[in-house]
Amino acid sequence: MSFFGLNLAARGLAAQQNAMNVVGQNISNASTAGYHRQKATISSLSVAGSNGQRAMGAGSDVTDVQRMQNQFLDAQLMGSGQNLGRWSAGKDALDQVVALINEPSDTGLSSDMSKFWAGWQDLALHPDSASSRNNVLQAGTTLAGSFNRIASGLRGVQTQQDSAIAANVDQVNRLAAKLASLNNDITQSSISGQAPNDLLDQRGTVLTELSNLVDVRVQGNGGAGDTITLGGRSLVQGSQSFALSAGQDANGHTTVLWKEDGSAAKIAGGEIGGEIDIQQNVIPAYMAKLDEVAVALRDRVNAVHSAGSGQDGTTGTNFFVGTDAASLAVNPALLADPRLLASGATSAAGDGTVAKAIAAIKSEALVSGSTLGEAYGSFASLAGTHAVAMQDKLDAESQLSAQLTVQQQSVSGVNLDEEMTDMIRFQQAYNASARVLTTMDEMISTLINNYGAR
Amino acid sequence: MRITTQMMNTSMQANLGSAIDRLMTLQNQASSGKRIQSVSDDPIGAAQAMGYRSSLASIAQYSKNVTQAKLQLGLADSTLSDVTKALQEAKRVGLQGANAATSDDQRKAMAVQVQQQIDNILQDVNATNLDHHLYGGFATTSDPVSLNPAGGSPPYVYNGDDGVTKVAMNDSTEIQTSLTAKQILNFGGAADASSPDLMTTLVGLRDALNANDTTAIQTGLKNLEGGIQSTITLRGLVGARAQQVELHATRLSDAEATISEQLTSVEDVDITKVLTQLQTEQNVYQASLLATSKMVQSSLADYLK
Repeated sequence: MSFFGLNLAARGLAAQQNAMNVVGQNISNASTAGYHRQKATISSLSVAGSNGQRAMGAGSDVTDVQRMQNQFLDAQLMGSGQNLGRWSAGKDALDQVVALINEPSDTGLSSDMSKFWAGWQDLALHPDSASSRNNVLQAGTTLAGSFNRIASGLRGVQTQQDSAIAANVDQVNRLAAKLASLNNDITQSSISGQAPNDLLDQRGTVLTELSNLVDVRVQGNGGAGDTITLGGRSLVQGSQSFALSAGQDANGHTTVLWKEDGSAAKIAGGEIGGEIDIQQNVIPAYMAKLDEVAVALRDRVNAVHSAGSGQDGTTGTNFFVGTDAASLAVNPALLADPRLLASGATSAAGDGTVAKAIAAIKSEALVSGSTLGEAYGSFASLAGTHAVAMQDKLDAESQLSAQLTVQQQSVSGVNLDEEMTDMIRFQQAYNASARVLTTMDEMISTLINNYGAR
Repeated sequence: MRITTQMMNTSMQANLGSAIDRLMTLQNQASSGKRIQSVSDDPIGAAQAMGYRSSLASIAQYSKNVTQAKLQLGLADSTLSDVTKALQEAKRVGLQGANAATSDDQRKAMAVQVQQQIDNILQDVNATNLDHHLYGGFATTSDPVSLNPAGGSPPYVYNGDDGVTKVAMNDSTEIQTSLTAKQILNFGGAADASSPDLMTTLVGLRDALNANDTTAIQTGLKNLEGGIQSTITLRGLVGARAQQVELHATRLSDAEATISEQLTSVEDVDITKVLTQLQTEQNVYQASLLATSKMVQSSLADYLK
C-alpha cells in the first residue's frame, strides 16, 4: 500500500476543476465580441512500471486548452469588414448629398428654377411693373442661393470626410500599436508555455476593428509572427508598428501618409478607403456637374440680358455674377437699382422682349443637349443612383457578413446548453474523484488504525 | 450546424431590425402618400417627377399668360367696338349734314356731335389698364394720341412706337396681344389726302360741317367709310387671336391634367397596395416579436437543480 492512489485522486480533482474553469470562462464570455470558445483537453496520465512491473494509470491532467477557431472564416470576416466599412462610410456621405438635393419637392432647386423662369415670363407680361421687376430679382436671388446652398453642402460633406479621415488615422495608429504590444505579450506567453488564447482573442478583435478602417492584409499563419501590411507596406511586424499621419493635398484635403518617410499610403478599402473615395472622386464629380449647370445658366442669361436695355437706358449689364455654383449671385448693381434690369431691347416702358427671351432659355438645350432643368435633374438622379448602388452594396455585404458570422459562430461561439452539460459532466467527475480520495483515505486509515496500533 | 446563444441573439436582432425597417418605410409611404421622397428612393422616377413638376410650373405660368392675353385681347376688342360705334355715329351725323335740306344751324349742332365722337375715340385709344397705356406700343407711360403740339396739320399725332407684345402660349408658340392706336386710327399711313388718319378725317368732317362745305363733307364721309371697314377688319383679327388663345387655354388645361396624372403615377403610392403591405408587415413584426420573446425564455439552466 502506498500513497500513490491519493495523488491520483488529487490529480483527477485538479483536472476536473481546471476543465470547470474553462467552462466558467466560456459561460462568462458567451456574449463577448471576438471571443473564441475554449475546450479543455483532458488526457490520462500513466507511470511506466519499473522492475518489470506493469505501467500504472496515474490520473488525468488538462494538457491543452484549445481555442476553437476556423482561420479561413476569420480571414473572410475581416475582408467583409473592410467592405462594410467602406460602403457604410460612402453611404453616410451619399445620404447627406441626397438630403441636400431635397428632390423631388416644392422647395428644391428645380422648383426655384421654375419660379425663376416664371418670374421672367411675368415680367414680359408687365415690363413696367415694379413688383414684377422685384419678383424676378427675388427669384434670381433664391435660385442663386439654392446653388450656393448645395455647393457649400457638398463642400461640407467633403470637409467632413477630411476630419473623419484624420480621426480614423489616429485610430489606426492606436490599433496598430495595440496589435504590436499584444504580439509581444503573445510571444512572451507562448515562451512561458501558457496557451495565450485570450490574448489571441483580443488580437483578433483589434484586427477586426483595424480591418473596418483600412484594407490591411495578414501574411502568416494567424499568430503573433504575422505581418500586417497596408498597400504593400508593413503596418505591424511582430512587436513593431509603423504609424500613419494625416497630411494635406494642394486643395487642402486630408491625405494619408506614412509617418516614417512622408510617402503616400495606398488605401483602397475600409472606412478610410470609403472616405477617400467620397472626398477625392465622388464629391468633386458632383461639384463639377453642379458648376456646369450654374455656369451655363449664368452665361446664357447674361448674354441675353446684357444685350437688352434697362429702363434708364443702361445696356450691357450682367444679371448673374460669380464664378461657380458656390459663388453664383444676382448682380448687386441690379439689386441696388431694379431699373437696370433689362426687360426689353429698348428702354421703352412696355418693352418685354428680352424678359421673354430669357424666359425661353428654359427650353434651350445648353448643357450637352439638355436644358438647364434636365441637366440639374440628371445631376440629382445621378446622386440618387449612387446612393442606391451604395446601399445595395452595403446590403449585400451585410448579408454576406451575417452569413460568415453565423458560420464563424458555429465554430467559435458559446452554446450555453452545451456548457451546462459540460458543467454537470465535470461536476460529477469531480464528485467521483473526491469519492475516490475519500475511499483511498479510508483504506489507508483501515491499515493504519486497525493494524498499525498493535 | 452548431447553434450558439449569440448566433440566436444576432439573428433575432437582425430580423427584428429589418422587420421594423420595412414597417417604417411603408408607414412613411402611407402617411405621406409619396412613393418617392428623395432621389435615392427611385432615381429614374425622381428625375421624371422633377421633369413633370417643372412642366406643371411652366403650365401654371402659361395659364397666367393666357389670362393676360385674354384680358388684353378683350380690352382691344371692346375698344375697337367703341371706336367703330363712334365712327358709325359720326358717319350717321355726316350723312344728315350732307343732305342739302339741312340748315346751317343744324350743321353747327352736328359739328358738336362729331366733336363728341372725336373725344370718345380719344378716350378709347388713350385708355389705361393699371396706369399702363394700352395702345402706344412699348410707350406705356404717356397718352398714345394727343393734339399736335406744333398745331396745324395733322391735328392729332401718335406719340407711341411700333412695339409689338407677343405672349408665349407654350414653349414654341407666341400670340400677338398688342394693338396700337396707330393701327386703329391709321396714323402714319400714306401722307396724301386719299388716306389720311381717322382723326384728320373726323376733324375735317367737323370743320366741313361748321363751314357748310358739302363737298368736303362727302370726302370726309368716304374716308370715314374706309376707316370703319378697316376697324372692323382689325376687330376680326383681334377676335381670331382671342380664339387661338382660347384654344391654347384648353390645351394647357388638358396638358395639366395629363401631366398631373403622370406625376401622380410616378411619385405617389398605390394606397391600397401600401396599406395591404403595411398590414402584412405589421403581422410579420408582431410574429417576430412573439418568436423572440419565446426563444430567449428558457435554457438548460432552468431545469438544473
